[in-house]
Amino acid sequence: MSLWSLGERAHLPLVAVLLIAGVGLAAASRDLMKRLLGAGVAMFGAVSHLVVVTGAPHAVGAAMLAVVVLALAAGALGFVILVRIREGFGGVDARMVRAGVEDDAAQAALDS
Amino acid sequence: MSALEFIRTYAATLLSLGPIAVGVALTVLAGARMAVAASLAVALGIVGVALVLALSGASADPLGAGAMALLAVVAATALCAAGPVLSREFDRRTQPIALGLALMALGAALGAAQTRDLLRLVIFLMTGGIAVAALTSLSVARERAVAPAAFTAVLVTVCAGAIALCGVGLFYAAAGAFDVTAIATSLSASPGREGMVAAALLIAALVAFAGVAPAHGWAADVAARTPHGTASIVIVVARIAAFVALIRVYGLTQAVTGSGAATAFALGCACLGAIGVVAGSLQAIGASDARRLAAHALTAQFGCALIGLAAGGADGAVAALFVVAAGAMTALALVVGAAAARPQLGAAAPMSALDGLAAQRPFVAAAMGVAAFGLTGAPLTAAFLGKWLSIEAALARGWYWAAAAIVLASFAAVFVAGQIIERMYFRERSAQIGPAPAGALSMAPALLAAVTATLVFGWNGAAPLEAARLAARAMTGAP
Repeated sequence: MSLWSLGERAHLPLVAVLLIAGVGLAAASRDLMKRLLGAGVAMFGAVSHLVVVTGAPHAVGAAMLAVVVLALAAGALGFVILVRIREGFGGVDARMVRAGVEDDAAQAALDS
Repeated sequence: MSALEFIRTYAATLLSLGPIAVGVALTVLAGARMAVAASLAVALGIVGVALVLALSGASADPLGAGAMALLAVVAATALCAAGPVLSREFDRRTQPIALGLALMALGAALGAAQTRDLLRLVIFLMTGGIAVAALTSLSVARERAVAPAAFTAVLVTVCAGAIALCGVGLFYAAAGAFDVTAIATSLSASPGREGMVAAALLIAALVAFAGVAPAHGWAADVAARTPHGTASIVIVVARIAAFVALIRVYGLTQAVTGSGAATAFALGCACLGAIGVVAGSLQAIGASDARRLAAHALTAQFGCALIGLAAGGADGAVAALFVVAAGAMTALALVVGAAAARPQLGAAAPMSALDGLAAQRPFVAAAMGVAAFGLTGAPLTAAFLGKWLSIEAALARGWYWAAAAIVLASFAAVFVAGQIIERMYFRERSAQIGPAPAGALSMAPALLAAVTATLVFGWNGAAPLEAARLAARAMTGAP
């Protein structure tokens, strides 16, 4: 049995695990860096699923490339914003950041 | 080939790739003045192409053509106001980047609204999501709360994109195609579990992209923090494009009329709609920011549209499309009005910025007043007809709870409208907020378009109803 056919057989459960684990991590983790990582895992699962399902023919090659470029661009943008969050809030803990945002909102309400 | 023929043939490509290409160019190399001129040229171009496409009646896809005409008008009027507002928000180096990102988001939205290829749809939606996140993050220097909102937008874009791609892959496995028509034909010939799982995944992703309840929190956060100059494109155009795509994919689930899966999807959509109507209306009452209020109001309109769509029949789909169009115009007036009333500093537009607006900007206040009445679905506004049709469709299906949710939401909207009007006409603007900024004249096209559409189509909705009927017929296959 070739590696490709083995991948074809096992890919659907693997994709489901990657998607659920990735989206779950992106939605629920306290560490914002882990959230970004979770989103990346989910996207990896989705792209590999598409490659296996379509057999990556030339017709969808450009679209696949576009998806990968977009995912990388989103990752880079997320990382840059994460650096700004660390600078602004002193860390990347989701609860701490939320508390900071709520403090700002309360202060703005008092000012106005 | 004549120019008109060329425009008709390549309208979809011109409308999506044109703004994206200009946007990339502006982001990379342009100066501020050239950026404003280029954005105005794009505004004129997209309105021209979209209107030629819609009025010629040559399009094989009335839903896409109608959506593009609506989005083009909203975006073009918003772009007219963008230059002067952005010049007060950012320095000369950042202005072209903001305009470029806005044009990328616009092109992606127009592409998503018209494409019938699901893989391209996901690419357009992801492009738009990244552009929106980047655009929002530009304000991070003025307010640190902007960064978490932009970060959430990135996460939603990647996660929703991943879920959508999985759905698209399953559709390909079931039907061997990415095209909506080919998938619908395949599903109606041999309905299978794979296709329904694919539709569920794709609808879940589109719910997140469009900011439909319960996945609307991120959209409201981004709405409250994004630059004022390009807010209409972020809050209205990008979300409505994703919602149009949602309508299209929902149509796939109804390919096998009367099947158990079709009924389950309809009921699921109606429940999402009811949640959206209630959550959006209640959160609009408690909104502390004018643009957050507009975002929640649009969430409520999406909910109303979903109820009409799920109720089914040609009238239900017509109601959905009419509600979305009316909601777009109401949200446009509120967002542009908030830009006219914004404080001098900061990225937000707190509700207190509306205080005493009638004394300083009477025409802006009047336009926002009309939009506020539109929110309630008051008679003689376009939203009234849309809500009426949605309620009729829900009652015809026996969904009394859904009809009750729309009626209750209208009562909740009365509080919201009252709050807006009371602040604008009966309060004085505090010294801390400062006077309303100059440049309200550039907002006149957007406000005029929104008020005209709300009132004229509220008085006589024959033309938009006919357009909505054409689109609904193409979607449902009704004669």
